[in-house]
Amino acid sequence: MPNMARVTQSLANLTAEVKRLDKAIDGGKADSIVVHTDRLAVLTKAMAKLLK
Amino acid sequence: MPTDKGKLKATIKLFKAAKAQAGKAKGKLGKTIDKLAMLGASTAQKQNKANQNRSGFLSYVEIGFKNYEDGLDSLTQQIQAGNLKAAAKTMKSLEKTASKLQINARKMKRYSDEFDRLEAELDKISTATHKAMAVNAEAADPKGKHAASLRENDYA
Repeated sequence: MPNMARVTQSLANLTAEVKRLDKAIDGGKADSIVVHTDRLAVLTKAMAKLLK
Repeated sequence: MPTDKGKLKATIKLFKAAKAQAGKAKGKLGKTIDKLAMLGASTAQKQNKANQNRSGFLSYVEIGFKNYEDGLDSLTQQIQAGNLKAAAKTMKSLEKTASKLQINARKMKRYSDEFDRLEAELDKISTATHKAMAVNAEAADPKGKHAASLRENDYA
């Protein structure tokens, strides 16, 4: 059974990173978009591991 | 990252026109001017292609991002409902979406960098073309107004 506090925290992290990526896409800066897609991929893997 | 589409179109138009006139430039530097014009035209075309590819991959990033957002909404609802089994399934899908996003973002950046590199190259070619034209015009008519005007504009 996953720890619900950690799941909630991980979900908050994911949501915050999605907002940053949204801003980066709006800004159209290639470097920022790459940085935030990389971070999102790392956070997504962490969340998937947590829910396994 | 290219933002000025008007400038890009004008550059392509300029070098296409120059390419169409290749072989017509006269004077000692005529051949050099023709070669520079042709190089400029092909570089502008490459830059245009890089811009098209960059835009294409940016669209893929935007589509992938929208899919991720939708998945995250579902995930949030599943977690709030305590349905962690469904959430785990959603996460598998989100992992794939995030991975595709990463790949497309990298490809987009590669073409964006290529665009910037070609932009710098075009600036150099354009400067060299104008200088060669000024020298050529001056050699043909040292006291001519056209040569003087080119010198003033380009060497200022």
